[in-house]
Formats: sequence, C-alpha cells, structure tokens
Amino acid sequence: MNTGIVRRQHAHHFASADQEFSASKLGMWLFLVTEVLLFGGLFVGYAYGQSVYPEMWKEASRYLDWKLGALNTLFLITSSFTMVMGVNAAQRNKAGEMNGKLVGYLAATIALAGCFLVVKYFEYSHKIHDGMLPGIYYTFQGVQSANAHYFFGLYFLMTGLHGFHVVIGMILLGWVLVRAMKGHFYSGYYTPVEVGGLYWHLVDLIWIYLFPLLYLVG
Amino acid sequence: MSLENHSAHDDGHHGHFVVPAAAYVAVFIALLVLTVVTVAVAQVDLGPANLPVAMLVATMKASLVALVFMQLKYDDKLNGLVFIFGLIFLSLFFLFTLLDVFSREYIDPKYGNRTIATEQLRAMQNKAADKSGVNTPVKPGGYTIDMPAKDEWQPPPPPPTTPDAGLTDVGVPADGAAPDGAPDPTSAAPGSAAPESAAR
Repeated sequence: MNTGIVRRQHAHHFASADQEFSASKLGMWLFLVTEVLLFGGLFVGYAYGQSVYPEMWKEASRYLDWKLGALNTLFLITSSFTMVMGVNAAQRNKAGEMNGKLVGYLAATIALAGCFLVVKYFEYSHKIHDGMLPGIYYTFQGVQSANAHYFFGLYFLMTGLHGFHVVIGMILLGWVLVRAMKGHFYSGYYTPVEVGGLYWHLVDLIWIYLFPLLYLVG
Repeated sequence: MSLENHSAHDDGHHGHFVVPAAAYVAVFIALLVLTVVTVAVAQVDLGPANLPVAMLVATMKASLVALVFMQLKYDDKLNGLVFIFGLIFLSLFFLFTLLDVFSREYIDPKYGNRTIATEQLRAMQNKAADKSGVNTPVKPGGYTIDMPAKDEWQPPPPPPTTPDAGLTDVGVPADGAAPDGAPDPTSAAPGSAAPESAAR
C-alpha cells in the first residue's frame, strides 16, 4: 500500500513550504470563523428560547437521553484525540518511513465519527417516532408547557447541522486517509492532515457546547 | 511544557514545534474528567446557576481543545487573533439579541413603546415643577410629543358606505368572469399572457 514518500514541491506562488503551510492554516481558521458564526445564529436562537421559556426548556430537555449524549461526547472527544495523534505521527514521519501510525489514527477517527452517527441515528428515529420533528410534523403532546416545539425544533436544527458537519468531516478525513495510505505525508508536508484536523476539532468544539445545552439543562 | 524543535529536514519546514504526545494524552484525560464533571453537576439542581456552571465547564473543555489540540498555544498568533475576532462578533450577536429580550419588561403596557423608565422620569420632573412653583406639569404619556394614551384613543369613524358604488367588484361577479387582478385564461390568448408571467 505504501508507495514510498512523494517529495512535495511547494506551489510556485509561495516563497517557501513554510509560507504555504501557514497560508493554508490561516485560510482554514478564517473558514472556521465563518462556521462559528453559522452555528452562532442557532446558539443565539437557543439563548432567546431559553430566556423566554425557561420552564418549558427544562421540561422539554428531560425528553433527551443524556446517556446517549454523553456516549456521543465520549466518541467525539476520543476522535479528537486520535486525530491529534495522527497529526503527531505525520509530523514525526521521516521521509521513507512507513506511516502506518498515521493511517491507523485517521481510520480510528473516522470509525469513531461513524459510531457518533449510529448513536445519532437511534436518537433521531426515536424522536421522529414520537413526533418531535419541527413544523407541521410536530405532533408530540408529552410536554405540559406551551411552545415545546421551539426546543425540539432547535434540537433537530443544531444537532442536524452538527451531524452534517460530522459527515463532511468523515469525507474530508477519508480523502486524507487515502492520501496517507499512498504515503503522501511526512514531516516536510502534512498540511491536509493538519488542516483536516482543525476542521475536525471544530466539530468536537461545537459538540462540547451542544451536549450540556441540549441534554443537561433539564 | 518542553517542545522539541523539529527541523530534521532541509526542505524549508523549519521551526514547527512537535507537541509531545504526552501533552495530548494529558488533555484527553482532562477532557474526559471534565465531561464527567459536567454530567455530575447537572444531576444537582443549582437553580439559576445551572446554565452558567455548565457553560463554564464547556468553555474550559473548549479552551483545552482550541489551545492544545488546535495548537493555538504554539501557533502563529495571527490564527488565534482571527478566531478571537470571530468570537467577538459572535458576542455582539448575543449582546444585542439578549439586550432586547431582557429589556422587554420595561415596556409600558399602557403607553406602548414609551418605557416605564420614561414615565418615572416624567414623575420626577412633575415633582420638581411642583416644588419650584412653576405650574407646567408634563402630561402623562406625553414627553415631547403629546400623544393620547391608549384608553383615550378613539378609532376614526368608518368611511361612509355607498351601496351602489362599491363592493360588488370584490367578490366573484354573477357573470362568472374572473375577479380583478387575475387574468382570465379564457379571454386572453396564451401568447399574450406569457410575457407578463415571465416578467415576474
């Protein structure tokens, strides 16, 4: 599988490989800021709903299973750890060496992301069965307080947008994994590993806030 | 925290620090512990402190991820600056939304968009005017523009109805033609109606 180290020549519009690496990272950080603002709209919607309907919020939150949320937190934190160990393995990978460690860590990260989505699937199918989907599909009658559809609508929007990012991250890291198996990454060039890792950590970062906000306020 | 300078190769990739794996393991364990803390704290009802405490623990976790896993601690400061500016703009978003939410109780139910604070100010002005002997009390509900209060307000009289001049063209006429505004597909050729719908 390992076809040997491919020496990378930096693109001609960069002065050095260092500059290319820094520019790629800065670009990723700028993108991550737009991601934070994208999720920010939903977080502001959360702050509004929680302020206006605090009692309903608590009551509705109890219908989410915090054990499943905690399990998913465990999956994502562990995947962030394997991701960063993958970057570490790439940084330490001398030219000409096997990079099986990097491949293993990337595969573990993708597998943990898959575990996250499986748990999410069971959560979603249970909630859809109970009629908690937003809009005209909301038929759930269990919450006594008014306007509980607001909470569950936000639940689906926030975790849905986050789950979408998990899927995108799996595709992105899958591409990095294929390139790692071809032996493209070594200590002199690992930009896709690093930048893909940044994206993956942001997905973890957002879940770190989503978990207590949605599952633990009740 | 000791860092090893990774510059073993002469390919222009000098000066990138490789964070020792032990630091990552330590942060990983800290994240697991803080997750247990969040769940444990959530089982205790702290009243209004519930949400702030949960957010505090989440922010500690997020800081660990951003500083060590995302390497902001070791990185070019520009990346951290970009991220912090994003957070500042996010906080503006929160600030002005929550200013609105938490100031709604000050809106006077009687005088609408004039706030209770305005009425309190007016009462103070009236009190001061009485003391000074200048008899110019400000009317309630009128600060600079004298508007009638809601219970003094009368709806304008309805317009005079002329039974033979109006109202018949609102409903569907007796002859079955389409009401005004909707083009009649039977009277207009399809070719003549198409440019109008395409222009919309």
